[in-house]
Amino acid sequence: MKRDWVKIVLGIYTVFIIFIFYLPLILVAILSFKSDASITFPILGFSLYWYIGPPGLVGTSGFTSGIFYDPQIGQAIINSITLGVINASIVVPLVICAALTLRYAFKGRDLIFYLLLAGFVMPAIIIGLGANIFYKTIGITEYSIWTVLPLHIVYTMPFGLILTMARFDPLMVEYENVARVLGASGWKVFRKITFPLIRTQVISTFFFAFTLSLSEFLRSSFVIAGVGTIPTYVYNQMSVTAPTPKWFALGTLSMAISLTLLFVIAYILTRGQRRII
Amino acid sequence: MPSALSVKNLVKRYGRNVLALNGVSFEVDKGDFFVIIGPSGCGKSTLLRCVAGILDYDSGDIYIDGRNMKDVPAHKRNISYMPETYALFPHMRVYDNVAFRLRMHNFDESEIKKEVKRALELVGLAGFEERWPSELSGGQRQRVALARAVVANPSLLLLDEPLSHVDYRLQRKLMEDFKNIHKNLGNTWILTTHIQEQGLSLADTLMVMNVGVIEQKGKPHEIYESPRTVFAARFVGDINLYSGQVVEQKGELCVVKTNLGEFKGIYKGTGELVGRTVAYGVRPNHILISPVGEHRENSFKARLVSAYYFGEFIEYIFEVAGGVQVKVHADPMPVKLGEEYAVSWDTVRGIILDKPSVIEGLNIEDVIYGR
Amino acid sequence: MTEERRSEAEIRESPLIKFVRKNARYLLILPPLIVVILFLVVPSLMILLLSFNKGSVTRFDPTNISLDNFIAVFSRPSTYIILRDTLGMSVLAALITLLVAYPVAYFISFKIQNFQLQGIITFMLVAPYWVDWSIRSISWLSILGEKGLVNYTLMSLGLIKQPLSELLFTRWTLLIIWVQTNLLFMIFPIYLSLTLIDPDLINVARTLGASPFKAFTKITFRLSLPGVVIGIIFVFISTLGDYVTPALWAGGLQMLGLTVQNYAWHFNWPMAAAYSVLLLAVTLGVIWIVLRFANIKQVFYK
Repeated sequence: MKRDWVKIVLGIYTVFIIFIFYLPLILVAILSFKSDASITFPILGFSLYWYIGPPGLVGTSGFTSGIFYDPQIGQAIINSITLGVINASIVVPLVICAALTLRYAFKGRDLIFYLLLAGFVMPAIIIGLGANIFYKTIGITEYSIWTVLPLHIVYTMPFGLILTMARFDPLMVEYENVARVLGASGWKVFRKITFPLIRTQVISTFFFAFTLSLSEFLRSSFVIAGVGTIPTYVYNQMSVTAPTPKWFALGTLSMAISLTLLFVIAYILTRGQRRII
Repeated sequence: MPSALSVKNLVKRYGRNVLALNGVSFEVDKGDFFVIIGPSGCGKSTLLRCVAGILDYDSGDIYIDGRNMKDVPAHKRNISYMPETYALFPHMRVYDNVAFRLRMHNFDESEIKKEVKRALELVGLAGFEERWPSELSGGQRQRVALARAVVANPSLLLLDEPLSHVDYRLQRKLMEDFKNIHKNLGNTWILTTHIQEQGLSLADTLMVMNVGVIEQKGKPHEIYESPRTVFAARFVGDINLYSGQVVEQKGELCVVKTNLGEFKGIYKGTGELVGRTVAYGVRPNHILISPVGEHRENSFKARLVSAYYFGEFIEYIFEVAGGVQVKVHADPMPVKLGEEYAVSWDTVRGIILDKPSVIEGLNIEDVIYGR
Repeated sequence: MTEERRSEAEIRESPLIKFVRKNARYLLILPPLIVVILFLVVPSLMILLLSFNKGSVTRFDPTNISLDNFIAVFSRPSTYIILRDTLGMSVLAALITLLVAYPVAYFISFKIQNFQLQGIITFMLVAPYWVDWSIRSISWLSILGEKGLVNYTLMSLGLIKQPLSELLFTRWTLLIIWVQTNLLFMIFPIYLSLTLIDPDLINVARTLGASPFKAFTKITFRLSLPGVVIGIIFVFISTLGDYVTPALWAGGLQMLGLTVQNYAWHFNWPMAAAYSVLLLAVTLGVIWIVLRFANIKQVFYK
């Protein structure tokens, strides 16, 4: 058999890209253990301060602490994860509704399809600013996770929609019809026929909705207050203070958690599944 | 003159367990209309794809027009391949689909226009140049795929199950068209199917495959009249088969003792059969139905249990005590269900086979009764 | 007895319930549609309306309609410079991301037969996104900065005497960060499109005389265009309206999104809205142009 040169070259390239992708992260991990407060080279010493160091004065960076002792970061993490999970949990049924309905042809189907996709494509400032005005108009002045949530939903839903619809089994409607003829009620048809066929896509949708929500902050910053989510919090902090390895510690921690979660999920998913994404 | 295609000892494994092709060897003459038939999963698609150069194989040699195709990539072989799904390029119109090969070989546009027109006329789709594949019916799509395959006259045309998704009437028409185009172009066609009637009527040469091996290859009427194995007998044409023991063998003539009685038949093989278990077969259309008492050389009594109308003949099913059945194809007769009749046939119509299949180690009774 | 009851119930069934029962499958579109209308269409409309106000209002004031904002926007030469810069950078970002992403998408979809491995590689590409964007961005400071990894290594190896200062805060920094941020969203749609291609199409093309390269350009690439288009649209849009990255990393480069944010920051929301309308118009224009190249709908339904 001839050697597949294309595969080898592309494989090396992909590994290279993944490496470049991870390089900043590897760096973040390494630098999070720095003993001094700057984030540049050279590395003078290693310490766990930025993770578990108690509040105090550190070098020239002023009053700071490790992430363990920073209650605001803790709050931000909780907010982000909560928001991510709620967002994903709402987006999944919405995507299912939309994807299943768009299988049928009806008047205005194209327009609705593009409209649903628009959430991904609308510039963030327009949505953010617009939502802000909208809330003011209807009298909502207190901002919280709940004011941000709808924006995340609109932003993450299109991705899930694309991903779900692109992998539809073309015979799905046929199977449903057969099931109905055999006496299954609407809900049963969904549970026993439709859902198993889209299960993989649903899982991917949840996954991507969560991921996208975690890092979303352009839209969120317009309608959020207080500590906010990780991205808004970090961004705000970094705009006012000099960057320190503390943020790298936060990054490394979230990296570690997400990688673990990733492998756990991947393991569960790929047992017996044919396709993952 | 080298043969159009020569395959020697082709072996193809999928993964570790599936042996799709088990050392297959055969030759195809130039200008032949070669049909490969066999049950699903026998390896005919795999074989075709290996010959086309789009599937790698484990060992063996493929020679096209005398040239070894070992390191020759698909695009340098002078062949055309049409998969079961036709694979029309969805993003190109009919014209561009058919013109594809010509464009790849850098013909100039005026030439291309002429050739495309000719090819489309050949398949009966003149004027369809500007249509999109999605606008065409299944039959039209296949014709476009055919036009695309025959343009620029490749020496070898490989068609994988082209008639399997086509309705009956269209099948007959297409079969006719295939033969006409083949005669017109004069190149070599290799076609696969699992429908034996197609194999019998289309082929100049017929090859029967069974799970990675070749059961028999020859002219259709040769295989029909003189099958070499039980598998070939069953797969090509309808046949009633019974197992029995040989009590006498004199030249080609043998006497076989079965549960239904002793019958005489013809054995064209070379083995010593006395005492061995063999298959005794007689085709449904060679059996005569008569009132009990009048009969030919080989016969037995049986009760008529059902009759099925096939248009051109009636299929009568007779049963003997014990549930053994025999199928008879005949013109409509004044017979009554539930009555006993004599079924009989001439000795020369009795086919005796000692080999169940080319595959070693099979029990003949298993193959007879389809286990 | 039951027959009478049933027909009675039917008569009593209000036309509304009957309507819902018959059309349930279509009505399912309402929940997502309502959400999108409320939180996408309405905010956009609000911005549109606001752009017609003048002054420092933050809510639409129907008594204060004027076209002054738009006149200002379109009469300023700076608008056109900004447009040119923004569009230029976004186009560049989209193209570079495409070039980087396509081989990866191709590799994963065509060259990896094991689905599990495909999934793992995809997950590996997604994992970095769980680290917050801001943190990922500052890490670039640590790589490209004067005391960053690149300079540090080069200087320790003696290859340069002075740290390179052009690595950071230039257009290239912006592009690098943009590519890194958006790479996944380009890889993914292309990967999807590629996996939807019937392999026999490529096989037949090969037997018809197409070399592997020609088979790729004429068949594979063309058929992956819907995914490419989606990816380009995404990268283009997200970079077009991005105000944070240019502010942080590209110093004095004026971008459209930045302009909007500037006005918003200074409480001249109507002007911000006017520029937003411009941004939206450009966005929609680009989408419209790019959509000419591929019929995206086809990928999702017939």
